[in-house]
Amino acid sequence: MIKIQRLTLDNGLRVIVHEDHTTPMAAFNVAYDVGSRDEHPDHTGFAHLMEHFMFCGSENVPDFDKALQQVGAINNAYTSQDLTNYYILLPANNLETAFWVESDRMLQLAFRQESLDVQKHVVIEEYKENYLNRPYGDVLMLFNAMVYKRHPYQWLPIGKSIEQIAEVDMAMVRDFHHRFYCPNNAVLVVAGDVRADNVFALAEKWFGDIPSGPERMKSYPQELPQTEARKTVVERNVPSDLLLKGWRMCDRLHPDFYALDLLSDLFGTGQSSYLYQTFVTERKLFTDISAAVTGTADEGVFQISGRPVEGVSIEEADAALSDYLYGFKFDSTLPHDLQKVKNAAESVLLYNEIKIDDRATNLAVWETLDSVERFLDERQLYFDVTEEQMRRLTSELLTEEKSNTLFYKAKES
Amino acid sequence: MAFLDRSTPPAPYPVTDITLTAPRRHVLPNGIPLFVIDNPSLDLIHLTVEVGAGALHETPKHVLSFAYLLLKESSPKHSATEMDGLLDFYGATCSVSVTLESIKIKITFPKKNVADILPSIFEFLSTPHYREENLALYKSRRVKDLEYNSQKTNVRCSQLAKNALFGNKMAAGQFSTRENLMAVTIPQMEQSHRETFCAENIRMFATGNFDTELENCISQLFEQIPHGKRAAEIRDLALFEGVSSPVFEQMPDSVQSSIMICRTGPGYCDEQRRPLTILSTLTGGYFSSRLMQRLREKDGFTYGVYSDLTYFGNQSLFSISSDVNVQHTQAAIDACFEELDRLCREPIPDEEVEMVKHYIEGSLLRRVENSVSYLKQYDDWQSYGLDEREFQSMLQQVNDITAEELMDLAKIFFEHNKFTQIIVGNIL
Repeated sequence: MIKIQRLTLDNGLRVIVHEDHTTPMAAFNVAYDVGSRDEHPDHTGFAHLMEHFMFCGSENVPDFDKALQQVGAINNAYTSQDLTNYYILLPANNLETAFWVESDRMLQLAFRQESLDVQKHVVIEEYKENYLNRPYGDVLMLFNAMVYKRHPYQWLPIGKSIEQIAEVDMAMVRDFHHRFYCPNNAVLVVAGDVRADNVFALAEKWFGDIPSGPERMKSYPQELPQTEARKTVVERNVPSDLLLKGWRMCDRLHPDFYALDLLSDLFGTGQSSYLYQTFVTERKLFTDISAAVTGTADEGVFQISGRPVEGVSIEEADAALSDYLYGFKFDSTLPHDLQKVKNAAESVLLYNEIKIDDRATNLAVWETLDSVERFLDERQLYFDVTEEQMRRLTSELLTEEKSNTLFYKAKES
Repeated sequence: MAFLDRSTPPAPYPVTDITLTAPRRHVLPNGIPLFVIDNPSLDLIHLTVEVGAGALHETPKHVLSFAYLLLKESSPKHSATEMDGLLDFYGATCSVSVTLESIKIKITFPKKNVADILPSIFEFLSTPHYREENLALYKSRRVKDLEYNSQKTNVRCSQLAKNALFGNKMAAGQFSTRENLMAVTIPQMEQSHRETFCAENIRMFATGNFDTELENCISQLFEQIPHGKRAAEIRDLALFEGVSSPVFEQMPDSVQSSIMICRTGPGYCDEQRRPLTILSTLTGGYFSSRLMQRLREKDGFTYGVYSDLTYFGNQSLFSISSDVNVQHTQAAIDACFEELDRLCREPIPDEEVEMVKHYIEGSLLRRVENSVSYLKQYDDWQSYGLDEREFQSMLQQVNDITAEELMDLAKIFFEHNKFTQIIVGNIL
């Protein structure tokens, strides 16, 4: 189990330290509790653009990347639906440089119009590269827009459109930074060859004088219970059809999350999963098929996706899959199968703890979601899942009226 | 409230002396070397079995890679489904990657399960029983991937580069087609596996919480690998030396063009390798590189532009690649060449050289940050007959190199007529 020490500064910044003296590196994460779910529907993609803009310099650090590269660091960031995480990995003896640059851009970001203009171009190219110029690039955009009708998860962090990114102005950037990029909305995690008392002293020195931001009342439009099956059909210039089905499920903090995660593994991870065995190996209706869950702060999605084999229509494949799912009953192999996915999950957890930067990122994400302590023994949380839970959740979740189906069809050439 | 004076950055410190411990070297009775990096806190054991044959040895195309990529589904005693279930039940994984010169089989398993799962893994690695139904399914999946990749400008760009580099006679240069994927047969795969999976062709690398029992278990299995013939070393391939006109493939619906500018270079053991690594990093190997600053941060043409060196045999491929706004395809290519020219003509500021030096020092440290990353780095060094001393050698070279030396190297290496240009997408 990962060992941590924590401190909260007077301005609300939560500081978490994980010492590991087997590595010469230090991982430094600042996670802000703001993601695409905090955007206005008319200004989507904004949190992600803000993440780009944060690299354009601050009052005392005109070039953020250069300042870090000069001390042997790499750094980057990502924006999810729930948070924005900035991370630095550097030789531990240069740790204080990370405190310098991160505190300066939290306190006094440089709002230069030229930088904003360039970053809008860069993000628009990222949009094209990942969502337009790639087969199946818009699948999740279409799918989320169908699954979520009220909640901001209906759009992805990249945003709904290039036009909304192009419309961003500096006043919006300043306001966003003021509201969300403040110590009481952030978590600082430092892990690696560091001493907790030293990290706490550095945190007080560099972040202690940054004023708290406005109090936040987080409130998001919640989805109504789904009572009718939803379906979207599109045609695109892609090589083959893709079927994607999903059911809204609990959030990441719900006690059922671990059971649903294991359920998705039972159904659709690997060749011994139920869906692969049934639809790829035995019935030969799909070339591949898999299942997964999204672990989001608000309601997530249990997803199944697959590509029908040549000669099998997407309608035929979907009908067979639906029949199977809605009539599904576990048989006598459940105890063995459940133990199998628990063991596999345990190995994944061990694997995710190898790199010091992965550990730091996990800690930052967990603390932003709720509190680190809640997640420190996830192995036990997976092992506590019962057969009864699996049976209950399967019958509660996998129903036709709660389903969302995307037919992503290849255009006839 | 008075704010801390942040105008002065904290003092930077150089990378302190890092002494890497050499892995323990153990030679199995059949001659296979096993390198072990002990890590008492790692109960998930990592074992890499490296086979000294890769895409450059392949003939016909796909046969060698199919033979290894289908191993997990070729257990003599278990069906693919059963084997996958067994691996999961014991928390184990087995993945295969094929590079130009080698095949790497990466196995992970919890230490407590070694006796339960490793014998089953060894069985399919050493005596695979390929099945027609698995091969047929794998082919159909690969055909779908092929169709998918044919619509991706960057994948197509990379394929055209390999074709220009290795030509149509070598499998590594040939395009993947439905026909050559479907043509692979089980007898061909069996032969390919028989010829390459032999003691003379294998090295093993491991890390984790090792003890005598674990080491014995691994040794007793892998010492059964029979002797055979070592795969021919790849040397002195006749590769392209620059093509006068760009290779251009039109994809009218693209909203971006993929561009690649490439040339051949010296091999890993050449004395120019380390200076060239520094020059490549400065050119396009990190965020503050010349190309990134120009094409992304100044011009906004792209989300990213990268330069890279890929080594094989006695040679390497230096490439610059990017996905760019179609309206600026030609301008982006011109900008790349202008930046290469600038490196040849204008002295590189000392501050920039210092920055790239520190960045590379940090990169080196990251590669040995934990025992798994060190294992991978050590494996790479061993491929070229090097060991942990390479870490200090590279650090020394990075410290010693001057701006003048980098400029001299740029003048030789960045000559325009040595480069081939590949563009897939649109030139508006």
